[in-house]
Amino acid sequence: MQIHAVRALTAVATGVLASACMTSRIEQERHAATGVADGESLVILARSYHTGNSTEEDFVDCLAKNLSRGRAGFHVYDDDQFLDDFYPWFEPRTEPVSTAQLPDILQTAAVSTALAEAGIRYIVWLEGATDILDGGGGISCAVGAGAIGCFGLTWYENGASYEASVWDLKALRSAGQVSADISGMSMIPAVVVPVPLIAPTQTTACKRLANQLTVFLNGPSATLASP
Amino acid sequence: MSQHLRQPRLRGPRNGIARARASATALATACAVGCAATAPVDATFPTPLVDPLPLKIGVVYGPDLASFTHTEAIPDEREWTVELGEANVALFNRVFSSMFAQVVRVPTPEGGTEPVGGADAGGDPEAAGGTRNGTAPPRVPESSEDSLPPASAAALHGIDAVIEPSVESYEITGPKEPDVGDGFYTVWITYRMSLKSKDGRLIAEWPVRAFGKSIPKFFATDEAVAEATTMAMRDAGAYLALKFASEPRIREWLRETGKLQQEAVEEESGTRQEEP
Repeated sequence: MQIHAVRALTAVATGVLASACMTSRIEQERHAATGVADGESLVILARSYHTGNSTEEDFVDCLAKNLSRGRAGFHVYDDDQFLDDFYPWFEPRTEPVSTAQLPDILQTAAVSTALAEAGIRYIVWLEGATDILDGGGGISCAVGAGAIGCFGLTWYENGASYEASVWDLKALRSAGQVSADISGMSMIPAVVVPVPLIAPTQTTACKRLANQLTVFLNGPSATLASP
Repeated sequence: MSQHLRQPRLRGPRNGIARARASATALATACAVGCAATAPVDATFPTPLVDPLPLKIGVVYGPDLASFTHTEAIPDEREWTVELGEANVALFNRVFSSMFAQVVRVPTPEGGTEPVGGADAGGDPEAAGGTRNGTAPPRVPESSEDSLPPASAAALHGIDAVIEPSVESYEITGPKEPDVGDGFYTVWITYRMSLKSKDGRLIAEWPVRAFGKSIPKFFATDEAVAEATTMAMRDAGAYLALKFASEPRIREWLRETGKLQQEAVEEESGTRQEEP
């Protein structure tokens, strides 16, 4: 019985440690100076599923929320509203794949006028997703007289990999890219009751990408937003 | 600016307990009668932000388009019925009204039962001008921001051409369908567009193949199917709005009729995105 208890405690401790153990890599590549003036805003768009991208809408929302948070937050134009307002120029089939296509889009008077009215200075294109990279183990549950019990351990490794490309609509060029790669292991040890210990890879990727984008958009002198 | 219309993309369910309960109840009810379900396709679409061509176009919505219903059993899942007749009419009303300087709706040649006056893009299920599976009588909306004006005899005399969209095919794959499932609901719709001169001569006929996908929702698979369908319809509208004038035969016709200058047509086609 004592051996079982020790095993259980070991499993729980391992799970706690493992769930807290995430590796992250944040990278930035700058092509041009940036800055956001009063009245200017940005929009975050997920790259098209036509190209096989599957960035989660929840991640787009999370990033928008983090970038607009606080007094120094940016004004972020709602992505769904933007796609409706500028239909059909940024649909999965028609979205520009390079900044060289921007002049063609902006030569439609209605588009350039609407963009100016909305004050949209930057488009942040998102690519990437959170995926389960590996996993294993198992949990067995049994039902007895008036009781249910589980025992075992299951685990999986999550990888959240995202890249944000920033387009400057004023300069009609790419300002640069910021990327975040987070991986972490989640575990569900079960000693009578399963205890999920989840590594929040996607949330972490969202916060760190937002922090780095804040620095990137404001320029080198900006400070990191609190996580 | 249009009101917020877009369906959420690749998004998990953002719903309340009430919606989950309602969906679960609907699902349970559907399964009780043989695991068949109906996807409620929304008939609201944004207005394309494009410069209109200087054309007066008559639009024909045949009953096959205006009351289009697709039924298909997805392997290892259930039988889906997707009704997109009303949405078809709402989509094309929106798109054509932005693409052309003037648009009038022409009665169908099948005996004039098609009402003149257009569809209600606000989602009125009976406003499409056709009948639902041939049972419900059509109702013409009193007014709507994208209702098409009635085509009087005088109005029909002044038109440059008549365009008629039709549905050539509708295909759907489920997220777990053997061999083809990729974790998403995926919908392909092929519309066939026909452009005729006012004297009935065929100017051009071309397909518009559209594609949409959505993430499955645990308690709202009907919404996921509807969203994939809506995305495919938006895809078709986007292609049509941006590529119409660069279709080779249409470009030639526009040049012949002097409706668009040579350089404008070339510019038009040069700025358009290529079909993937």
